[in-house]
Amino acid sequence: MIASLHPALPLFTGAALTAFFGRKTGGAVSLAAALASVWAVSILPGDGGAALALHPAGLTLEFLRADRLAVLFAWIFTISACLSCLFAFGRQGGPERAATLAYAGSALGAVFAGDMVTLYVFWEAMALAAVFVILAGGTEQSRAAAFRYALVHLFGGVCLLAGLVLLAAKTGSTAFTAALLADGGPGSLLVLAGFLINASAFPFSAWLPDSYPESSPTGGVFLSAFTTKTAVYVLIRGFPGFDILIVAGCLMILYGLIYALRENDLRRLLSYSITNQVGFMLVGVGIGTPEALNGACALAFCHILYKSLMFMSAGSVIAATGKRTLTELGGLFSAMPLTFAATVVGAMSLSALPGTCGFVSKPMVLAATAEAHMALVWLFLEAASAGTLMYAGLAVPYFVFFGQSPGASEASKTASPRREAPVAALAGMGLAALACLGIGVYPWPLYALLPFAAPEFVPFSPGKITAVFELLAFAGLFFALYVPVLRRKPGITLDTDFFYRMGGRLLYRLADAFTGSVNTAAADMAARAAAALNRLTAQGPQRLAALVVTLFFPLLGKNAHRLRDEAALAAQTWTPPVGVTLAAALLGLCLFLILLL
Amino acid sequence: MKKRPSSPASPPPADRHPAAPPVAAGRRLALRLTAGLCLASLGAGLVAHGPAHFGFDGFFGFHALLGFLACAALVLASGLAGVLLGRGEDVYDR
Repeated sequence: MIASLHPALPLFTGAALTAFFGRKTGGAVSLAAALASVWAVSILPGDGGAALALHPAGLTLEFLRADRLAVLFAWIFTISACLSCLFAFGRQGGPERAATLAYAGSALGAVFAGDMVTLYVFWEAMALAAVFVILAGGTEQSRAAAFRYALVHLFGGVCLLAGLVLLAAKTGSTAFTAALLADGGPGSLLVLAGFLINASAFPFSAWLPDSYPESSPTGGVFLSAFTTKTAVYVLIRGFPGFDILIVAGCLMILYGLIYALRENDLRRLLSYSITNQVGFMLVGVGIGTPEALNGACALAFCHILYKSLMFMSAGSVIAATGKRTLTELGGLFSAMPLTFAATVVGAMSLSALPGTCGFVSKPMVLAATAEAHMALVWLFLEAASAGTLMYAGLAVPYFVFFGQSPGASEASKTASPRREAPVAALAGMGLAALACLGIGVYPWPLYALLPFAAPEFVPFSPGKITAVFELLAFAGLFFALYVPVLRRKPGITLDTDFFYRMGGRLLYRLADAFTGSVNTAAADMAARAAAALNRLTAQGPQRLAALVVTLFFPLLGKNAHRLRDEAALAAQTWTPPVGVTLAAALLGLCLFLILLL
Repeated sequence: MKKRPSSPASPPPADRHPAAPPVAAGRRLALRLTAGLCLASLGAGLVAHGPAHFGFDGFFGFHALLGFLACAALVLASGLAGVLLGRGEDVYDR
């Protein structure tokens, strides 16, 4: 009987195998690998009892630290991988299937890592696999976005590695515990910076809306689940109660709200929404009480479900229409009613409407804020919850499935497809929607999984329901009143990626100018040297002969000038026999060898 | 078989302008629906008010006011961001 199996192993095995099969067989292999990883999580004890560690060169590499926190994230990661594989069934190429499974496996490896070295290895593997998932988008934009993603995450990885080295040098330990990271020194701050870059904390946030929308319609579903939530997991484990995370979380919430309100590209809007929602989680981590940490865990769990669902529906719409902006989309309700229903469930869960999973998780963070007597933060989070309904909860279903932009071309108005998403995609969306609603009405299994000892949260009190109902109803009224103002327009809003995109371009131009001038100078020098060598070989022998004859002018008398001219002419025109040339060469070589030895 | 004359087109509803496009009618319906939901939420608030944590959040209609004003503030902030940071889609292609 198998006592415990690392849940990442089936995913890595699937990644190694799936690329060798066709789309449908390979899709079945991917799905089987994801289901096997769910089974592997189900047989873990979940109380820290399972452990798998190696001890090479004095290090302790702990690959399987299966405590309650790790198991909670493992559950949602593997469930999400299953739903995503089902959604993508038969539509992914071999490289994309392998990359997505390796990506999910690396995220699981990071979740179960018990030391910083193991965490770093899986952290970088996750970034590398994500680069290939983005590359599978197959466009020029996806290649450029993957390159920028790699640069940003390389920088984050360097921060993490530097912090790890500094911490190990200071403490002599590479264990991944909050106690070790709590000293606030340069090492722990570098580790925190590495984690925050992956969490898309402002101002290191632009990589997310820059890269995820450029992936394929199926790749985006995987990307939406793992990187940022792995960052939330490591922050919960490593930095609970760090006040700076409350500020970082609030900035992320505001940033996500403002940019999502202006965003025209459907998946970029959802990407800003990820940053917005991760901000709520960071506030919970920053508060650091067991209630707040449980709230962050529950929100991360539910967020993966409803954001995957929204990326699935967005991917279905984009795959069906070939269009990706809200100004081009619209009027798809009659063609894609089931996708519309899935979108509504995802959007209402995102808005924390009663009866959805958002309602039983997000208020946990707000309640923890209130219990910590942070009035301004609580007020801000309540206001942001209303804004969430406006920027995505109503905007996405309305602008995609009903209200077409008055400026949309006639071609785009008539080009709506007469077909739904494929059956497998609908099944994936349907199961995700059922999970969102199921947790929304019966959250106790989720609450039982929460890792921190705290009084159980009571979501369904009449007062809480009416307060949320009031908040969302009036946010909805605002949307209905000002929908023409909220309609998106073509164009982009400059983000912090401006600095490295334009800065990179400026650096390229400067480097180009510098290396160009060096190149020109070197070419000029080479041309002059060649001309001088040409002059030397063409005129050197005759000048040397004339010079030698000139030395003997007093001895030569009146024939001196004639003899000098004849010697110069002979030096210019005389060709020695081959034998003489060969003998001279051999003699020179022998002299060289004698001198050398 | 005698063909039945086609029935004349039904007149537009009394509350709808004859020239009003379907989009405007849909928007009017959405406005009525959300206004009804708002009234219902306020009515529910009379029966069971949300928990007051800090004192300032204890008055009737607090969440309604917060929801509406928060949306207004966010739209203003995003408009300002658009003025300052909005660019054409080809800004990185030039």
